[in-house]
Amino acid sequence: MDIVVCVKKIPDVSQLTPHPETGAPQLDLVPNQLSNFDENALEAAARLKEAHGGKVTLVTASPSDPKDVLSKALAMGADGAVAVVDEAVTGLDSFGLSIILAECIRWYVPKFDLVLCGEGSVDDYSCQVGPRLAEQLTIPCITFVTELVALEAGLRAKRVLERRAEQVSCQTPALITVGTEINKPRHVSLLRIMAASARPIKTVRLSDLGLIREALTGLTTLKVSAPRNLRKRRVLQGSAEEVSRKLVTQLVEDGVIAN
Amino acid sequence: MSRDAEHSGVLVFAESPERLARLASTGRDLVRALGAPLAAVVLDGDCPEGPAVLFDNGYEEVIRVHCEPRDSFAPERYTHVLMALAKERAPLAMLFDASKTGTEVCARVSSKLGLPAATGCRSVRVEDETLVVERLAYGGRFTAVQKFEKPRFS
Repeated sequence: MDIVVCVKKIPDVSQLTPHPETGAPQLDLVPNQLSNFDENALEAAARLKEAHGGKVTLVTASPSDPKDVLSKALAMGADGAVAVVDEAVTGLDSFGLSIILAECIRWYVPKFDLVLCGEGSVDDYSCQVGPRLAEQLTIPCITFVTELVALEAGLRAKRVLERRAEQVSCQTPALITVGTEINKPRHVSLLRIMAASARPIKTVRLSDLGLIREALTGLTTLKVSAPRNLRKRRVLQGSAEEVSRKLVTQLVEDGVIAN
Repeated sequence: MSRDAEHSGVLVFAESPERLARLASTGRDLVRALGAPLAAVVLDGDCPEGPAVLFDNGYEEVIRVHCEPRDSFAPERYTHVLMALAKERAPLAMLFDASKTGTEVCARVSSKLGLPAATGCRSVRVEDETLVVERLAYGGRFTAVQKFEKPRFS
């Protein structure tokens, strides 16, 4: 089974802090990593490859060199990668990214049985790239999958929606999006990451795919900022009983609790 | 977003009347800014008790699509219905419920139409004839304000 896994290089959002004046995320101060859901997609691909053979190819689009995060993805079981590296990718939303990934797959990985994507990326979480990419490639799509089994002809999956879970099946080639429930991604050692960095990574630009930035812009981000936490910094003094009474009075006055 | 004679109205889609009711307030704000009618799209199978209640929520039109109820989520079915309506009515905007169902159908429909989409919006407004949305970003720790670049949007 030949599998394409779409991955995204994102900043480690757990370490992101807002700029003290503008409130904008200080992206330059945090390391980059694979989007968490992509690790689940990679793990699912690696398990299918171990069970059924075939190869796993990574596809990504990034404004800067993604080799640092691709090395880990390759160490998790991928055989190679195609990376669209172009400054023009900066700030593109799911509209443009899905077009780029589709063209990249058409040009460089035209024969595949399955495309796996994370259900969303941690930085944006639009959950749009998977189904949009499936539409671009005109293949069936099953989203929010928590169990995946390869059959002799096709796939069987369990997807979990808000009110119900369903068993669905489809023919291949198909696109599947997965969340964190599907598996626990394997730990890869530094040694394996270093060894995997020798696997082939083909780097292309938008122009190699016949694409231009102007045709890829869907949403333009005007501003990103953290909500300001305006703390009142009130200090209540007195005995425990007095402070408790003052606190309750204050909370009632502020409308936090009812009188 | 450019207004022209070919585009009209705002279509709102959700899997249930309850979710359509929740989207009505955002829809009403949009149609007030756009001067366009607000229509709800509901499939018969999703609304066995009838769609009359939706008029009380401010919808000027309820489009009932006749089809048999199904036990499973069928994104292709919803996509097919909404694509037909989008082609027939050329709406200025389409609003989807921010559920997993709505998110997937939104992606499929907007991709087929060749349009961008914003999901999980906390607010939607019209500024200088452009749709501006506010969404959470970076794991919910930041808020992003984004505007649509395409003349139409979903």
